[in-house]
Amino acid sequence: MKLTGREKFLLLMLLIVAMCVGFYNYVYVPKKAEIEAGAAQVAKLETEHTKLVRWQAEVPQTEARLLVVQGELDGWVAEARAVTNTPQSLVFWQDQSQRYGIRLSSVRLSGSQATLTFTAPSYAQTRSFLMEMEKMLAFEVSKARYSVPTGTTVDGSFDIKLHIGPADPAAGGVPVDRTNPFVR
Amino acid sequence: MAAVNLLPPELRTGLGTRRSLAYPLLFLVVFSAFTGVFLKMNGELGRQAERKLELTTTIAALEPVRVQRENLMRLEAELQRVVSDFERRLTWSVYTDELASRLPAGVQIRDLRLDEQRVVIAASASTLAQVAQLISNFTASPLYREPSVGQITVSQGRVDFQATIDIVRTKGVTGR
Repeated sequence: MKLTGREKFLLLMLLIVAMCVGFYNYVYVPKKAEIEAGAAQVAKLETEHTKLVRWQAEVPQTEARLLVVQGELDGWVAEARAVTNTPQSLVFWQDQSQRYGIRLSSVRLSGSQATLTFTAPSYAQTRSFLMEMEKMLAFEVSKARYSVPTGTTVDGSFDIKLHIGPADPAAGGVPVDRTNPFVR
Repeated sequence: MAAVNLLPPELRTGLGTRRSLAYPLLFLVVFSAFTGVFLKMNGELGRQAERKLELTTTIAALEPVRVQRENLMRLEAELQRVVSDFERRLTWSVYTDELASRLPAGVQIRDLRLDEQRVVIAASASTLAQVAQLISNFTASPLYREPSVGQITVSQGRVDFQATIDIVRTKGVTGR
């Protein structure tokens, strides 16, 4: 078959257009996507790098702040977290009431609530006892009641929300050789 | 007037050679353009790979800095949780201290009840003026508002009354 010059030219144009389309679809678009993905990765790494370089310049301050924060966590925060369960709560109330000469007349526990009823020798002692509880994360006082019947002693009660977990089984003692549960 | 070449194509000098070169040259131009674009893109990818390698190496070298900083952020978050927990709570001793400091001389509380919204007091005073001063004092307090006095009983120089005072919850009021 003999092709005229015009037909040859049109065929050539068609071939070039097909090549362009093929190149665009199978080379240009995938490479472009690869470059864009790579640029995003590089940008992410650059951001990370910039941040780390800034952090490196701040290392002395970071170390100083670490000491402060660790000190607080090991200090008052550790003390605030010292009570984590019911047995420890009971021991805490007993110790603190004895420390301030407060007579606990009842301790009522109900789920995550507790009510302490007490008689204190003075308001100052009651205040100190309350402040000891305020330092603990485990105790959130929700109601307080004081009455001063004699002018000095304080009768009162605290309703407390307890933020505690289950008792620690490791704190349990070893069984003793006892068969009668009705003797001390 | 248009020029017409009446010679058969094989006798037209030079034209055959030019036409035979035109198509390969056109292909060459297109192919060169493709190659150029391809090489440019590959070069860009190569540069990206080099930069990535460089950054990755530097970042790996700075890993201890990251560990230290993340450790600080973790500890600070832990500390902040505890501080927020305390700040959310009412610090009773601060409120009772404020209450005591705002009591006028001559007023004595017999019964005090606090919950998270208000304070209810049953108290005795010597004069009504002291009760009036108590209302003014609590109105001026930043930790209390809207003091309201209920029934006032006056007998034999003694004024017994009950008052309810709302608590103002202020963030950061702690006894710590």
